[in-house]
Amino acid sequence: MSVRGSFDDRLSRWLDDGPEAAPSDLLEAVLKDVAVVSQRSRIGWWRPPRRTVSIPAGWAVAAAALVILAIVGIGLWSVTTSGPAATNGSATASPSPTARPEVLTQTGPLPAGAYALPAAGAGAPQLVVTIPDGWRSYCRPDCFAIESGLTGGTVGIGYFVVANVYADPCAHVLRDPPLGPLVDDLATALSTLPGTEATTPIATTLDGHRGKYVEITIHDDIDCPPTQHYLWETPSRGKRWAEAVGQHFRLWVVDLDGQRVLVQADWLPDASEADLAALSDVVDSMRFAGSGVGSATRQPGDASAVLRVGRQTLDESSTHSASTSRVDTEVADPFSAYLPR
Amino acid sequence: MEPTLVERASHGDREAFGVLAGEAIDRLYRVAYRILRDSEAARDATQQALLEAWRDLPTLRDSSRWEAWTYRIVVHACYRESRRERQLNAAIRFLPIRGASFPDSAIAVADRDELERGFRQLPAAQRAVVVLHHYIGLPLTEVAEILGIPAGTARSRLHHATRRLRVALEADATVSAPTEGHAT
Repeated sequence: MSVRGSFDDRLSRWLDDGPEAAPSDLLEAVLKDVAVVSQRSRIGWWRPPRRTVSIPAGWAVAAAALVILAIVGIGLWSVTTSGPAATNGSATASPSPTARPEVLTQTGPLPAGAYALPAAGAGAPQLVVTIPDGWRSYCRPDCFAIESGLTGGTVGIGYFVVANVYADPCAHVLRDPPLGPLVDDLATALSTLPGTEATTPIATTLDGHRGKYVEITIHDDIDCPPTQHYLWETPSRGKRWAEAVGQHFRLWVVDLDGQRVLVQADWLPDASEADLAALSDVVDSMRFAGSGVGSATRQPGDASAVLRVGRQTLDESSTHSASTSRVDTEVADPFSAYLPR
Repeated sequence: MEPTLVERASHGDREAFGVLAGEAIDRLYRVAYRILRDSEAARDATQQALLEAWRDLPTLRDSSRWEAWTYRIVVHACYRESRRERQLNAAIRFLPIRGASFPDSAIAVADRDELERGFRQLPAAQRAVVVLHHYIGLPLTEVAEILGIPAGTARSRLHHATRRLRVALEADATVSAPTEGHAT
């Protein structure tokens, strides 16, 4: 062994053997980000003390009434305006309802607005979402994911074409024989992923497209680190793995005119209520680019109409339609005849 | 010179920050790559780190700590990247190095593959200590300060990481001994 040198020498030589310079376009990308991101406020003694302004009771009542009127007005405007942005009623994401979504092309922070995500792994109609400030895109290489936080957050949306799922997530063994082509095949496979707690697939629609809906949570007793716990694979051999125990996924398996896609909204256990509320708004805004169906034909069961992302689970939501109000209830699938064969 | 740039940047001077970022980007990328062992992930971590540095610069009270502070930020970006990574790269395949004997260059390849394999199995927190200590050359007390952990914790992480890497190398030495002679 002495011919190989000391362990420290070998380790140092190995560490030295790697790139010395950042990619040539990285600085430009950083400065582009910096141009649109504000610095945090300084916190210190120089900040002027907060002043308390006392408001006469009558003025306070009048102000409250104005706020209520404003909220009601905005709500009425929202429900009477067509388009995807009008469906979410978000106070934080407020682009023009008719704004053309920007197609994401690179990782980085995003101003509030509507964005189109390509599916990871294969061609499919883009998923359009409306996000508030403070989110970022994630491209590896397709810009298939967005998440809260400028430097990586605790909630996110992902969009995939799935070729197969893992039969043994820790050993990285795919199902064999592979997953079938139907929406039901993928929904059932997701609901039986090892190392997860899953709901029974139920019929749903997303932006008017029929499909199945499943929720899964990563168990805390999986046999490997979460990032070694693989979930599914795309046709281009990209892998989606878990990131933390307790991570929760809401999954829509949707038939887009014969193309099966998977839309994922997920959050980590340490997600804040504010992030969860933002995710709920983003979920409400989801639609597909070039969709021939669209929000005008949304039905009970659409993500916008039914799903609430947050600590509340679907089965706590009693006002939803019978077919979607409980995820743990076996529901006849009225759309099975329309699913691809 | 640098403190002046840091101070200017901390007051919102984007041009000054551009100079700082240009000076720091290779240094941070080298560290990120060596922790993450993936060029795309290192790119993202470096980009996140510099963006975070810009955003949080007003909170840096001692401008002479810029370099250490950015190391800390990039290491934390690497933690997030290793946890949050939603990669679409195919899994790395390691070519098995098995045979009757190795010339020196092949030994180097064997070392490299076994170290790569062993290193990838380390938690990101242990990788960071190894890189800052063995690659950057920082003493463990400074590594601990940068990472915001007690010196004993840094020592313990380095010890565990070193032990696992040694095991990986020794296992390789065993299976690649001339008497094994099975090529795969």
